Amino acid sequence: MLKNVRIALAVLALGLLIWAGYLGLVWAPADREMGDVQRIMYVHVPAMEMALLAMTLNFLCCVTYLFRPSWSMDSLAEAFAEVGLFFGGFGLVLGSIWGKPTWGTYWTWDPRLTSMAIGLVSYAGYLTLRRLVDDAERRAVWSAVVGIIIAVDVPIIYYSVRWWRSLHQMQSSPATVDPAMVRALRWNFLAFFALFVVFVMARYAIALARRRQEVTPPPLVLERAS
Amino acid sequence: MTPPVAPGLLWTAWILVRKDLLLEWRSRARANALVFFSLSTLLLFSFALGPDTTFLKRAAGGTLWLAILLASVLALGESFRVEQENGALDGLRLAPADARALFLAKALANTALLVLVGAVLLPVLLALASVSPTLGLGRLAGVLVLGCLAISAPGTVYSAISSHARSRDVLLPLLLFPLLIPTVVAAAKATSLVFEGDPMLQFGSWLGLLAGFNVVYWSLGFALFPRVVED
Amino acid sequence: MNASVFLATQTGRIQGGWSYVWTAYGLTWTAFALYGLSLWLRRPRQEP
Repeated sequence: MLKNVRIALAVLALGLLIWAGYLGLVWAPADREMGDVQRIMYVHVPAMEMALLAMTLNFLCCVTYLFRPSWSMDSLAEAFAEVGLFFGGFGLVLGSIWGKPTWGTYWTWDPRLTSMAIGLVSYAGYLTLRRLVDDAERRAVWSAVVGIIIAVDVPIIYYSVRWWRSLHQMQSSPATVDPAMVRALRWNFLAFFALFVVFVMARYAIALARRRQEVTPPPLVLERAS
Repeated sequence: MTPPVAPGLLWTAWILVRKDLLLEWRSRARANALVFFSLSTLLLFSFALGPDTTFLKRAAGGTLWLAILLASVLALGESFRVEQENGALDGLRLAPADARALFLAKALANTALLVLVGAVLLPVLLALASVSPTLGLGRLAGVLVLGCLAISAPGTVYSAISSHARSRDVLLPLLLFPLLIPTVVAAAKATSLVFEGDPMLQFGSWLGLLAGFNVVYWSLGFALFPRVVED
Repeated sequence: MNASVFLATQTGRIQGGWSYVWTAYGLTWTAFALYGLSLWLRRPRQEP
């Protein structure tokens, strides 16, 4: 039953991605100043939104785990961390591609980019920690602790464009953006979110299965006496 | 006769700090090694970045804090090894010593060690880069102490974790460095301002940032450390 | 004042840039495909 749901979701996500891709690449108008380079926004922004969402959810799982330990919470935290790292990583590269024609540079050390880069390395460290601890329970507790500590960066990433003078633009609202662009952005957000759910469900299943394998003793094999 | 009472948190922490510092003083090996290591790091940076003295002057703040950061990896990496090798951590936990007292003690002892390293490095740096504390020694000391405090708090938590994991020597810096980037930036900037003067009065805000990091990481460490060492 | 500058003021300050756009979208789809593949390959085996 669950398998069918996941397949249906994946098909839906793919369909949304194609539709949103069409909107972003063909349907949406070119920007007044950025020209067609604007279209990169339709993939960069949703990617980063998914990354921040994943990091926030990882934090919530870590806190929950410390109050009520369970393998499902631990596995969910792991899933959010990896999916967040994925979206953040390629989102950062997309931003870099956008930056070259618009800012004239692939990278700059401004607060938004720096804090996001720190965040990504932190979550890579989180996942490495999980790989290097063999005891399942200790791994769960320690990564929950680490996850809470690194989550301090997440509000910094989000609010950095508001708190400091940053090269990166501030959050825009639909009131100030062309409605056609809002439409393309919204559909891409939906498509990316559908994929996000599909990925998290798959990664969660992988993590939970590994926990089961670690925690249950191997079955005894009884040999028939010959 | 009154029944024995479990000692309070701060008193326990104080006893543990004294134990750690006494151990350090008696052997002095670790402190010596740390000081010599950071001195050679400082020299390495100066040679690698030199010989342009104007550049070294501007890079002095950053150089100092990079040297302290690298020393901290060694210091923190060792800080639980003594207990781990001798099984003393279990002894500490069996005693009615709150794990939070242990955290305070370890983190403060590590801070003291790093401040010592910084204090030894400073005169050497002042000579190598021909800089002087324009804003005064008081401000310089303030940055040093706040920076070392901000490194030790999360460093102690991560050290307790990594000392029980595989590849502990790689794991500690991997976890710690990204976390400490804002701290090192703030400390280095503040130190540079002390050396070069502060016409736009930015020193206060960098110091404020350092203080903020301390508040966040000490409270998180205090709250979370017991979960790290519990069984 | 040459023709391309004139064109730039009509359609947008940045001309073209489609290579960037295609790189970005291509990267996006490739990333999704590769990550999806990695999740598929790591899927839990059913216990007999």
